[in-house]
Amino acid sequence: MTENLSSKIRMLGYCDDWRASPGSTLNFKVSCDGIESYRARIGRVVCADLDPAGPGFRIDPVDDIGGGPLRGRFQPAYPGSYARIEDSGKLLGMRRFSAAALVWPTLPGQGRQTILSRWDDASECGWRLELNDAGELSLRVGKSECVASGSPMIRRQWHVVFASIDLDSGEFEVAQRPLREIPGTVEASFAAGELDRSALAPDMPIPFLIAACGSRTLAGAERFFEGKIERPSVFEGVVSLEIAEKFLLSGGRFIDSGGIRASWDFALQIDSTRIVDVSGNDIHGRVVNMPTRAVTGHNWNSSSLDWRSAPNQYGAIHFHADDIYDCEWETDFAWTVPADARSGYYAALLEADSGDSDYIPFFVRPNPGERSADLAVIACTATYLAYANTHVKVDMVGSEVMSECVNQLSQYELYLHEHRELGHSTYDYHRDGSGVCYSSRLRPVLTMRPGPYTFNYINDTHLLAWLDHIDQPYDVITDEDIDSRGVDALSGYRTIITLSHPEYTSTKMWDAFDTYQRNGGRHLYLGGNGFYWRVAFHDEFPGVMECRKGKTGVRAWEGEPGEGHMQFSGEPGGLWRTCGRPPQSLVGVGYSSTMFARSTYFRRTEASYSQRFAFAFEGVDPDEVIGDFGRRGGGAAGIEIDRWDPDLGSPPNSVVLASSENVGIDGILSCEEYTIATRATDGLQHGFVRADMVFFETPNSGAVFSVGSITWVTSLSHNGFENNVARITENVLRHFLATRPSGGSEG
Amino acid sequence: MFRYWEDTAIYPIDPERLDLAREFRSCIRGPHSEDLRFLLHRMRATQIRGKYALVIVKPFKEWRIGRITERNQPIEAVDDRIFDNLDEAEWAVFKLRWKDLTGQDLNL
Ligand SMILES: [Fe+2]
Repeated sequence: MTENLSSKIRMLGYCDDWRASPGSTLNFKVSCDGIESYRARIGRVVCADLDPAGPGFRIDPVDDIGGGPLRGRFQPAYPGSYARIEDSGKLLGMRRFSAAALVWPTLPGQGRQTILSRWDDASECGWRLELNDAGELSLRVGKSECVASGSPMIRRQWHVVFASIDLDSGEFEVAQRPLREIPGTVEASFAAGELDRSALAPDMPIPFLIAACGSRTLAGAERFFEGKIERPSVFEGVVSLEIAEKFLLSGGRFIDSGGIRASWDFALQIDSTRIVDVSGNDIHGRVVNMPTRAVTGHNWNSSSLDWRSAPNQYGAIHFHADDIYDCEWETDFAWTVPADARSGYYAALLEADSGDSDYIPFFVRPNPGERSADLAVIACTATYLAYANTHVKVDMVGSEVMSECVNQLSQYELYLHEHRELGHSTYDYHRDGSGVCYSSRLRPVLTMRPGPYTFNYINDTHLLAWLDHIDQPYDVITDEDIDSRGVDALSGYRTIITLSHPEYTSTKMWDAFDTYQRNGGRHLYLGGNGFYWRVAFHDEFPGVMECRKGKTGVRAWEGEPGEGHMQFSGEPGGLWRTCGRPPQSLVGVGYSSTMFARSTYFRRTEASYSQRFAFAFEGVDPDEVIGDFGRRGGGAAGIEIDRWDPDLGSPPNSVVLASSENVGIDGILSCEEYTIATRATDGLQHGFVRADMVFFETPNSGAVFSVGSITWVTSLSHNGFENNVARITENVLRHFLATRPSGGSEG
Repeated sequence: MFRYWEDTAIYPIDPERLDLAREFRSCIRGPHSEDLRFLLHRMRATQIRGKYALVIVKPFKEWRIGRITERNQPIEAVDDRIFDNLDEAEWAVFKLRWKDLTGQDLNL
């Protein structure tokens, strides 16, 4: 008898926007499983790491949510993307009609999957065109079903699917044909039958759905289609497969019999959630749960890789049963940020008498135009989103080879594995094998909770703990603020710090950082693998980020050819390096290698002994190695490391002050760092496998200091914060905060 | 589509190489000899469904061995042992994999 190690998590929440400011109100949404009541407090996070040997878990109390205990209730999440036609009334009253679409199924034979439907689950009235359990095309009308038997659809091949219903004659028909003939497979298959006329209910106000059918559950939809659908259309009267196919393949221009009641051209308004009916009847709709748009259609011929320049080849939408954008939970309590609240990392702390608890993270930043400190810490919410609810440990075979130890699973990770309804991260695959390219914060994000998953969020709080230790005031600004406000979000600050892994950067963010630095801003980049992927946010859909993975870089999945341009912005996605902006051109260093198993230390370069850099090394012995300690792998150079390279844009005045040493076989060169694989690309043999600490001045007395390592900040707390990593960081910070710093080059 | 590796590890494990098992036993966290690295990579690259993982019982203190299941399914326990030492847990998984891949018990 197998014992299940089910997750014991029974309480989870999120807030409507994790960015708050003094005076603003956050709405918290909580789901409880068997918990009657709980209490909620608000705290300011000093360190979220439970590691007894770390800086010390500390959350300073800020406020209690009053009004007595809060009532626990269960709130489900409903994943599954589909399209809903808003004005389905215009599709009422049809007694004789046909429907057709082009489809590219990705999981045929794995459950019933609806392509088109007007189905009322409660009364079993209406119709649905779907794949049955065997992957065959089926048309269900009321209780009658007509199946194109014996010819299951072929995975990842385009097919035309067709159905006609005639209430007057009582006949219905279904047909399918793969667009490319494949010897040994059925060329086209048809089936016809007598239908139960009463069950069509042509006048019942049943919504028309694409890629799902109506459900009596609160979800409202079920039997989701996995794969691409293109040009779904509804014809007046009974037409044939041939006519429907001719219409679809001609881009909806050709029709020689009957009229078109509705025809949705997904190539229009690709960057939105709208789907546009081009029949002239204006029966428009919207997609739900963010299916993937800007994907290649049946006619994509690789003449363009950019949907903006050939939109008519991008008329498909890729739907997934495990897409989710917004859990849409009800609010359980709210909190208004007091006018005098300090900026910072915050959390709502929920506690039930049963001992169950949750931690809902958010960020308080100043209102625009207000500033409480000279230093801004950039909360890398783009990174937090990219990794939100990652399933890498339980879905990706290589994860243990990467970490070089058996993966540990926390209660949160057990929960995510069992409860896929909370959605995936941009490091994951959908169930159908396609990559996840959207990630939203409108759901519980369990990778931002105190616990053994320390990557990013928890590591970053080591820096906050250190700032607290040295009594350094700071404001927190989020990546999303920089994306929406540009350099204005930064320009009041004398210095900014980016944290352990600011890997994801939108164009607006990049431009803002660059402008800030050139306007005299000073930037401590205290991380590794920063400014690596180009991503996009969308004005219309708050809280969701898009990331397309190209053909190189540390990509957890590889995007389909032709699908590298982002839906939200149209820009090419992928590495900034392949978009002409290597990270070296912004911060002097750029990603070179991973070293997950073990970290190492830095040794100063000859150049670092120049008077120009003396400020950085005050109090550090000239021959000391730097950071041969730390809470991640035992060193300040580790996990992911960046190197200096003038050929990739490190500025001519940038200087390497220290480099990692003794990386050895623990360092593994990243794939974009070589053109031909050889046996000689580990850190024992290849000089690119290293972290470089770099300094350079920017115009108007600005400057940049970069460490190029994820484990720098997790070395700060060593020996009660008395160590040379903390010393150097403080030296540079104090120097950058001085009114007239200099990188010394003036002197 | 490019599909990431699922079951591509092919390096054969030689059940006679008890020296490698001894090396691992004496130095769980490495660094390891090249032959032992190959063997470990073979073990660690086993397919994800059914792969061993350490389920945290008490953070930083206790672990037990589980098996990764299909999506949406709870992780399954392999046995009822609880480890209070991470290296011991790692060694226990090594022994399970030795048996899985060579068909022989590892008795040192
Ligand atoms: Fe990363």
